[in-house]
Amino acid sequence: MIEVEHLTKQYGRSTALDLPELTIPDGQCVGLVGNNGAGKTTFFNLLLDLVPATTGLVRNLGVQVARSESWKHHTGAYLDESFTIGYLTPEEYYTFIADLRGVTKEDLDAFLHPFEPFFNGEILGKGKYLRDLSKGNLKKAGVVAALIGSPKVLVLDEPFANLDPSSQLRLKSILKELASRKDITMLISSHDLAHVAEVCDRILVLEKGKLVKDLKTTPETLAELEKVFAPA
Amino acid sequence: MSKVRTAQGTRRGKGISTAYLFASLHWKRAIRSASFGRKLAVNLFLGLFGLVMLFYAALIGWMTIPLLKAQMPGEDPFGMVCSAGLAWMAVELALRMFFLKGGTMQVRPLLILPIRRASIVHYVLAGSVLSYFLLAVSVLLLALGTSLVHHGYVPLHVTGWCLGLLLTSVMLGQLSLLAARRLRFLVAVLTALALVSGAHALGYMDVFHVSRRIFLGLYAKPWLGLVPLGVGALIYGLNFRAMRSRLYQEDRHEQVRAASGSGSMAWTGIFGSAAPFIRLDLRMIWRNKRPRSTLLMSVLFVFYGLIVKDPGNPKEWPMLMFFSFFITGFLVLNFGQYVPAWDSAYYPLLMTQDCTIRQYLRSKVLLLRTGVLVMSLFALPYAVLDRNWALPLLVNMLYNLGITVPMVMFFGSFNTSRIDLGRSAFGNWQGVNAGRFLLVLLIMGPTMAMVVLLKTNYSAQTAMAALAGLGLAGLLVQGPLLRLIEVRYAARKYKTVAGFKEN
Repeated sequence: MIEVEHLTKQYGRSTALDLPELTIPDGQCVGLVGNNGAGKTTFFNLLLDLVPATTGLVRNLGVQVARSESWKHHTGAYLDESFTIGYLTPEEYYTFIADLRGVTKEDLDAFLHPFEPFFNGEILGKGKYLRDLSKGNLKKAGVVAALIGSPKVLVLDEPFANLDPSSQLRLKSILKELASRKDITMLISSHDLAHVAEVCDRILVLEKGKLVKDLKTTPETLAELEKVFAPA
Repeated sequence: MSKVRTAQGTRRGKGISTAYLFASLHWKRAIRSASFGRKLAVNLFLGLFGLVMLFYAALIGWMTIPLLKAQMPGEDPFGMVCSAGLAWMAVELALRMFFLKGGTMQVRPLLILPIRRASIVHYVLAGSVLSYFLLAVSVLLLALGTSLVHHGYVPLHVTGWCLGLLLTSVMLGQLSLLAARRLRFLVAVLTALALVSGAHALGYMDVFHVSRRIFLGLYAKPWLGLVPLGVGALIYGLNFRAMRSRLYQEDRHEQVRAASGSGSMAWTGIFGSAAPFIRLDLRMIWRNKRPRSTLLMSVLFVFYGLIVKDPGNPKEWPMLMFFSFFITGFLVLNFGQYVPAWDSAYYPLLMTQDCTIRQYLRSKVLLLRTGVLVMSLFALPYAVLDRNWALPLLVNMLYNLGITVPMVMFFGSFNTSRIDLGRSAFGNWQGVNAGRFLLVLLIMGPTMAMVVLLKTNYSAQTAMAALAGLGLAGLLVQGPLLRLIEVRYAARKYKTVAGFKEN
């Protein structure tokens, strides 16, 4: 369960995020949508304790993230390139994270195998460093790394951006499959309303740092979302 | 329509404002940087230091002639100044190469704007001409020139002579830039220096005599000052070409295929839970230019010890201690002060992975300690060849293991500037700046002061015992020391993450 209490983040005088209260139950898949500056990435940074909150707190499975480091054990995340290590090959990068998460070599290989179609032969076994991968391939490598060690909480910032159409579809089915297992809490931000409406059980609409809509996904959700974002 | 016209209007005035635009970009980058406060403090200190140095420069310029007259009555003081000219040039070149900060402007966003590439390069190069060195040299020459006129030398010729020397200084600045940029010029400069000093040592030529003739000639015929101007302009042209061709590659990484691989490094298993980080660090060092050249530089420091001619002489003992400290500790000072900045590109990953800050720090301490041991191993031949080296090396090794390592780690946490691992090639001294030496001074100063004090008040043995004792104590209380650093890192976490994000 992710719990948010009186969480605000201010940069100078402008408020980047203002969430008085939010609870995400275990196993829920939540989509965050909102225009640029809505506060999606700020929220993720606060959740991962990469920026200090101005007021309030976030609890990740009962652990207050700014107080203890133990949330790291059950949390996987990919926000941007700073979650990859440029001078490693994808294999070395995965091994590094598997080592930290206590995943054995065999388990890692077994874990990576189902992702071969998603990788489309462009990630593994190419002898390329991550810094030489294209933006889309780098994102694919990073998103998969966030899944190593079966995290209970998964945070992905714009996982569909920069991906080619086939990869977007494959990633969507991977995430849907994960969500259907109901043993992982997922937070996914995206600018693609159709993707989140398809993958997530619940959709939060942020606007200028505030939560303006909290929807349970139904067949009508996409139309409703489009109405929210359509210019008046 | 009117908007379009305004745009064209601005474009026409561009020539005048380009330099202003670049300067304001530079200024904004400096004051909006996360490490601005720290840099400001360092710069204030350095500024003060610089003023004192300027004062000394003026004093030296003014006092040289009277002092020489008083000390060596029979000689021509001006002739003696001229004799030292070439040696001074060599020293200045060496200093400039060591302290050089290459023109670092983030050019990529500018490349597609309607600014000529040439003006970007000219701005960076012209900026490098205006340096503290030039100021110091100007002050020195001004004082020297005034003193010369005061002692009856012809004002017009003195002016020409001083200008010629100033132009020589500018030329040396350009030469040092070129040598830093192109390996073959560095080799050429070093070869020339070696040949000349070799010829002098072997008696084939007298450098001082040649120097005297050159610089007295400059006084007699001041128009010869145009020679360094011409040479300087030529080197500027070479620099310009070298930089302009580099403009395309400024942000490019070394394109090395990883195909060769480096195995799974299973042997690092001996480091236990720190092993993943050790493997990461080793790959970081081998696969990136900047840490690789830092490491190489540190290893070359081993040869520093050759300066000590007679280790058995008690008078040389302070030197012995100094070099022992540097040889066994330079790697730690040089490499360790960029912990955690080496990991700046992926610091958010490390901060969200399933590992504690303590684990991370422990791996760094292990790495740095291994560095001390390896450097000590490299220094072993000194002790084998002359046993006077043995004790100084041993106690300094202990001290560096126990005290320097945690100290460097502590001070490293203040560093919130991002490091671009792929940026630095061999001979690029960028980053070897004065601020860095301040840190070395901060760590070395108290140590050396203590050694000297104990030696003068008690004995060399006491001083060495104290160093060894401190080192051992540091090793014994490493747990609490590490906790202290850990608290520090945790407190700096957000600042560090934010600072490392900046380019």
